[in-house]
Amino acid sequence: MPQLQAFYFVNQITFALVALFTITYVMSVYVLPYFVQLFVTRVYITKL
Amino acid sequence: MFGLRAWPTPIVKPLWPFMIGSALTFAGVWKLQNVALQSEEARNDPKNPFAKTAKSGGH
Amino acid sequence: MSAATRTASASAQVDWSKIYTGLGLGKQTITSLQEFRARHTTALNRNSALKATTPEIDLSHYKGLLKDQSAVQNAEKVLREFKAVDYDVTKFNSAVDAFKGKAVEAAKATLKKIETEEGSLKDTLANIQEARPFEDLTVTEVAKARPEISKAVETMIQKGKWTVPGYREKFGEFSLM
Repeated sequence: MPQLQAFYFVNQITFALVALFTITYVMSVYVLPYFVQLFVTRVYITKL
Repeated sequence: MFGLRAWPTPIVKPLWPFMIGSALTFAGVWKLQNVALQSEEARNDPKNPFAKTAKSGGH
Repeated sequence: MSAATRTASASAQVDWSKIYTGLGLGKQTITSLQEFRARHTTALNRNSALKATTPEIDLSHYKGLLKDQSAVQNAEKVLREFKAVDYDVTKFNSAVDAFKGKAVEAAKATLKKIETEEGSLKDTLANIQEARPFEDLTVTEVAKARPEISKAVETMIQKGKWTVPGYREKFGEFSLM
């Protein structure tokens, strides 16, 4: 398996960390707060 | 971005331990690769892109 | 036509019931109008009462009755030369002008208020006409209409609160895990 060859370990860890942080950032800043907003809006408009 | 607005989610405050851990892991992997490349087996491997020795061309 | 009769005919022509109910005036305006009308009526009544109390003196009767003709002539002269004191009406006119200015100001304020009310009514009408069925509402539209929702979500997220209390009890639990 090419992943197990020692030459590309730094390459792999770099991309893994960048991807993890990108996913975390996008999810927590853009996606998941939208769901909180959706739930709050649902509760709000049913309380009217 | 893509019709979604940015929310003021705190990023650094809850994630700073993970950032330090990532840096440490990166350093460890960096050292591990360096050590592995020094090994006798890897130094003469034609697949090694870091090899200093003249390449045979692979085929 | 003298000024008094002209005033009387003008005041008789005013259709008060229409002013009170037909024009849709403000409460304050109607009250001051009623006050003005009452003042006018009392002044009119007092004027006529005073006129009625003025004694009519028959001088010829006294001429025949009294021996001292010079006294009668004196009295006649005094009566003839008597003139009602003219009041200086400019003072009252200035008061009337001030009242008019106030009334015009109040009317302008009423007009402005009515205009703003009309604007908000038009907004409401547009709102109703552009309204869509409840199922087609989007979160963005609701957030635009109620900025306090976005504010609440922002504070929640800044504090790390990612759950809405009372949501699952109301809408059920649909997550698979």
